[in-house]
Amino acid sequence: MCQSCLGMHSYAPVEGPGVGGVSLLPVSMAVLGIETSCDETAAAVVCDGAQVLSSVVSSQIDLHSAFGGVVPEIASRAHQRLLPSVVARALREADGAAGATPDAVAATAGPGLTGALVVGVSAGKALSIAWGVPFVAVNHLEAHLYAAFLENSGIPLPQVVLLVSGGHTMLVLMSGHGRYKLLGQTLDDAAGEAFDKVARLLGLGYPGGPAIDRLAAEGDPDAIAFPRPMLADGLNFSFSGLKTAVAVYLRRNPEAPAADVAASFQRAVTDTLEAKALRALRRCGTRNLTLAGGVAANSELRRRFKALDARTFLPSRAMCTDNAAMVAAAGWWQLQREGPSSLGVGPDPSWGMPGA
Amino acid sequence: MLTLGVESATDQCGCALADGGGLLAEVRVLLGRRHAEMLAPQVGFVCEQAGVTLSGLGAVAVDAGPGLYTGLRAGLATAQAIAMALGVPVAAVSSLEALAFGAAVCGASPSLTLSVIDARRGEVFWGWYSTSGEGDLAELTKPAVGAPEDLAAEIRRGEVVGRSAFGGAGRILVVGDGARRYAEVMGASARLELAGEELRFPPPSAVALLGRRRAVAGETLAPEHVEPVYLRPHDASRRAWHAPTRTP
Repeated sequence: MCQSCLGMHSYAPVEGPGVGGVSLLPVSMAVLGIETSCDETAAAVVCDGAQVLSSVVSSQIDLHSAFGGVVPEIASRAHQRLLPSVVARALREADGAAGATPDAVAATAGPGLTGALVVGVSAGKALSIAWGVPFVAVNHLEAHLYAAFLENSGIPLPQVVLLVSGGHTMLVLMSGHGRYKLLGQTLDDAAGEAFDKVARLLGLGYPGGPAIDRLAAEGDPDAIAFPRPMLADGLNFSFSGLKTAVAVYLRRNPEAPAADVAASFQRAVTDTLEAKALRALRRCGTRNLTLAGGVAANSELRRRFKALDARTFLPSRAMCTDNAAMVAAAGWWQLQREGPSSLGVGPDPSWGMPGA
Repeated sequence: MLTLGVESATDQCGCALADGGGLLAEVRVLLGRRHAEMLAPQVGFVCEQAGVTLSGLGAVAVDAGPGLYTGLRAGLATAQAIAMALGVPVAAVSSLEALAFGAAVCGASPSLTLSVIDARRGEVFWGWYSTSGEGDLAELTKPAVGAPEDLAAEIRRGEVVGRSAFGGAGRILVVGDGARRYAEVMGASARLELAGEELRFPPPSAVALLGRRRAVAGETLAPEHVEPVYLRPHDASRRAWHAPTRTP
C-alpha cells in the first residue's frame, strides 16, 4: 500500500517539463474519485492512478428494484443523501491519519442521469476548492477503460476494449492514454439493457444481469436458437431484435423452461460480443483485449473471453461494475495529460467517449 | 463567525459571506439552470472579493428548500462538501424563510409576509411569516405545497395556523417568484402587496445572515445529516432510459 501518498504533499508549483514549463503534480499523488452517474454512490482514493487505497460503493439497487429499473428522481435523492458519508468512509479507509487530504479530486461528469451527476460534480468541485487541490471532470466511459489498469498496470497498448454495461455497448481502440477510437457501438439497446428486459420477461426482477447469470447456469444454452443480430459483418451491435425474439418465443412457448431461455439468450449475447471483439482485434492488428463495464461481470462472458485466442484482460467483478476507483484512476491520467478541469464545468448527461 | 451562505433552490444561483459585522459579499446570477456549473466559481469569487479564504469559515449555511430539485441538490452537495472538507457544521435555512428574512432586512415595515415559490407543474410552495424591520422573523406555518388556487383560498379564508391572517389591520407582503407568476390567481386585495424584483428569489445574503445566526446559536447539523425539503414524493413513473451518447 502506498502509505506515503495521503496528506504529504504541499501544493507549491514545481518546475517541470510540461506545457508552459510548470507542473503542479507532486511525485506521488492520491486522487479522490467520486461516481454518481447512475445508481451506485461511490467514492475511492487511488494513488498514482494505480494503487487503490480505498473503494466504497453504496448500491441503490434495493431502492429501484420495486420499479423494475432506475428511477432518476429516486437515484438523485439517494446520491444526495449517501454521498457525504460514502466520501467520509473512503477517506477514512484510505488513511488512518486524521485530517489527511487527497491531492486532487476527480468526479464523473457524464454520461449519466443529469440529477445524479449534479450531486457528484457539485460535491467534487466543492471539495477541491475547500482543500485547495485540482479538480478533474471525468468521462464515465473512459473511467471504465481504466478499471483494468488498476489491477494490471502493464496492459500493453494499443488494445481493443469491449465496454458492455446497462447503458453502453461499444468497441474502442485505445492506442494510448487519452487516445481512443470508437470502432463500433450498439444501434439500439445496450447489452445490459437486453439482460434487464429479458429478466423482466422471465419475471426475474431487477437488476437482470446477475439473475440471468444465475439461472442460465442451470439451463441448456443450445436449447433455443435465438438470433445473433448483425453477426455477419461490421463492428456495430443491435440487441433490440434479440429481446423481441425472446418475447415472441415466450409468448408462443409459455411452458418453456426459464433456465433454457436464460442460457440460450445469454449464449446469443456472448456469441455476438465474442465475434465482434475478435473482428475488432483483426482489424486493428492487435491481440490485446480488455473487458469493461457491468456486463463484463457475467460468468459466461468471462469464461468465453478467457478462452479466446488473444491477450485478454478481465478486471475483477467489483471493478467491472460502477465504482469510483476507476474514476480516480482515469482522473489521475487525465491530470497528467491535460491538467485540471475548469471549475465552471457541469454535468454532461450525453457525453460520448472523448476523442472517439 | 464567518459564514458562507449558498442559495440555489430556485432559478437563481448565488452565495454570500457574512460575519459578526454583517454581510461581506454577495453574488447572485439568473442564468437558467446552471447551478452545478456556477456555484463553485461563485464561492471562489465572493471569497476573493471579501479578501477571505474558505479555511476561515466557521459554518456553511444552505438554502435547503423547498425549491427546484436539481438546483437544490447542487446547493446541498456543495455546502455539505465544503463543510465536510473544512470540518465545520451546516446551518439549514428554508427558501421561504430566506425570502421573508430578505423582506425584513430590506427595511419593510412590520408585516405579515407570505413567501411563495414557483414549484413548477402548476404548483407553488408557500409559508407565512411575521417579520419586523429589525430582521426578526417568526414562522407561522410550516412550508406547504399546492395549487395556486389552494393558496388563494387560504388567503380568502384568512386561515393561518396560529393566527388569523385577516384579523389585524396590517398589510400582507407577498414575496417570491411564485407570487409574481400567480398574482392574478391569488386575487387583488387592498391588503396584499406584491414585493419588487429584489425579493423575487431568496437573497443569498439572507441565507448567510440567517445561517450565521443559527450557527452562533448552535442550531447546526453535521454535513451528512442535512436533508433537503422536497415536500413532494418522488415521481417513480419516470423511469430512466439510456440516451445514446453523442458521437462526432
